[in-house]
Amino acid sequence: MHGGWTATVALTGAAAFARHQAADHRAKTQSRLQALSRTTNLRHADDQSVAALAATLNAIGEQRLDNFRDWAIVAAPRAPGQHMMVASLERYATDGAWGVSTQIIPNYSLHSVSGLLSVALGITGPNIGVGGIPEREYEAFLAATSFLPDRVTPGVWIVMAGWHADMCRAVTLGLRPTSEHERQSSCYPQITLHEDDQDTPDTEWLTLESLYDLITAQVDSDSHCSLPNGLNLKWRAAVRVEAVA
Amino acid sequence: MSAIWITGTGVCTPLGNSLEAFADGLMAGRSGVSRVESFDASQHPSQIAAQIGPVPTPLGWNANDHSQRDPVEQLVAWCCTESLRTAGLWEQRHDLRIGVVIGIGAEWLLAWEIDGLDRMRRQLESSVANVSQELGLTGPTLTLSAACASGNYAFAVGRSWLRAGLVDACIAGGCDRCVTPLVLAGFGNLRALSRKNDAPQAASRPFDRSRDGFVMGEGGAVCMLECEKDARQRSAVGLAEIAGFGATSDAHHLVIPSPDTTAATSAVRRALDDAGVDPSAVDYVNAHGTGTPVGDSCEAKVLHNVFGADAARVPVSSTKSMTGHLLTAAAAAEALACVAAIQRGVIPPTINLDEPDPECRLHHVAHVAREQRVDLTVSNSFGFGGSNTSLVLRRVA
Repeated sequence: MHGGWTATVALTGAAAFARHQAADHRAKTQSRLQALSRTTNLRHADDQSVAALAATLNAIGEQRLDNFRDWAIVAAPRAPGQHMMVASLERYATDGAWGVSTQIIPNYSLHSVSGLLSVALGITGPNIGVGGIPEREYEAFLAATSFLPDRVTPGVWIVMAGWHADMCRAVTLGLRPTSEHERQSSCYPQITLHEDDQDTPDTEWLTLESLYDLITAQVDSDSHCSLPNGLNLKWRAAVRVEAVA
Repeated sequence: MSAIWITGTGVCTPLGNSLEAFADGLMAGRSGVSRVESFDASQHPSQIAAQIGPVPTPLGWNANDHSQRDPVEQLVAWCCTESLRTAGLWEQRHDLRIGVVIGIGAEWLLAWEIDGLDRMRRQLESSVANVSQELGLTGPTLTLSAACASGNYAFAVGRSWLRAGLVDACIAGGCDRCVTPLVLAGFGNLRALSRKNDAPQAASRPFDRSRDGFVMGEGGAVCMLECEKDARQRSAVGLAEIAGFGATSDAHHLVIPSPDTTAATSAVRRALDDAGVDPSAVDYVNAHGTGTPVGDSCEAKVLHNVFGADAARVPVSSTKSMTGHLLTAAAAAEALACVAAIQRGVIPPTINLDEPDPECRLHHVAHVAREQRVDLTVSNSFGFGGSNTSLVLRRVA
């Protein structure tokens, strides 16, 4: 293996809702924010941003938000804003330039999900959006190379969100650099980004859906995902610790 | 850790389509801003922009095929090809693992706007991946956005890939072609844009008392990044070293910069720390300086926080006064302005700075370029989503 990095998956969270549940899910997520004394209004946020926020809140669980203040956020949405674009094109045709919403640029760009998470959760570490095109969510792991190997930030939130058919899903992984001790054995899963070493068996492409299934089913076996251009992602399951009488 | 050099560039801007032409325009204090002619903007709040002409056909590409591509993909193709050519890696491109990291804000929104209501269901594709594949490159590809700060992040990612051994060389930068009816209207309705429609070339006025918003621009700028040892081995010319990068977020508002400058100040300090240099070593600051009333005064505070009394010494300019705001390509274009300053020993000016705002008291290089040796530069880029970034470039010894 020439290069790459290994990170510990310290936290995971997921969220999903069907189209008819979107408004209810938004209201619930807004309430959760308010319970944390965060004032960000989600009214104009894209559904994918709301799902991403809910998944991240699930990952954080009962921990204090301050614990993650300096973490980086790398968020990979799937082409948000189509309904808003349709409305804007129609309004532009009927009302001209003044009919175009001021919300389309801040809420439907590639960086909108990461920006919303930063503002909503008070995270002052770096935030970027990546990919943007369906099935390119794995680009989040490529971008995380900026933060993990050199320990630029204490951790990185990898967040993926998108619609597939009638379901909006989001997955959040809280990654932190793996210590030497953890490399040998860890009660947390680990992710390794590395060059293709030929020994890696052919496996399915890494997508939001496959990661969602991996997390929600709490799979306890290792898995590999091929990326384009000779890279692989390896998911090493946590070591099971069993009590001995 | 290995030093990372810039060994080639790909440029398509309102001031020209090569580093030389771009630098000539900057040093001459030439404005690229004019009234928008590519569509009817007469009913828009802002009717001006710094636009590019037709994107030239890249080396080895079919002109007809090139013209059929989406506008952003044309930019990516031109800039990536030029960076390979100018770095002297065109012939070797299949033999090396060359990655591509490009900042693009929302290519699907631009595609949908082009398609219109009747055809919005096409299969979306990554321009970056498409171009990489057509060039026969074998390294990883990544599209990212931190709004106006995207280019600086692209350089940071490219540098990290090189240091992690994932690539042998990496093309990094930003491309944007957002001067479209909807985007011009969207930014205009946000009241982010200058409405000095009767004086386009005087409209972009960073740090000036009469500034009233930024002027949209478009274009692309990328760099070929290589490890110093590899570049030296093949006797490549190092145009500058990517010496430091720092990034933070305001966590304040999606659009409005935080009046608390702590996070932005921290980004600049982290970049200087990453480069291992003291603020007193900085020869030139290319400011984010968009020309918005709030943003410019915040950045002036940031620079005073970082440089202290030295703020009266360090030359500062905003090249957006000439290029307009290239959005996700802005940071990369401004890094190239720093490269030009290092290479030529000339600091580009802030044009239209007739009456500096007392809230923005800095050592401005106003109106005309200044001859001065430049060894170390800082380029600030802040963006929607609360992103703050700073990039330090150093002269290659």
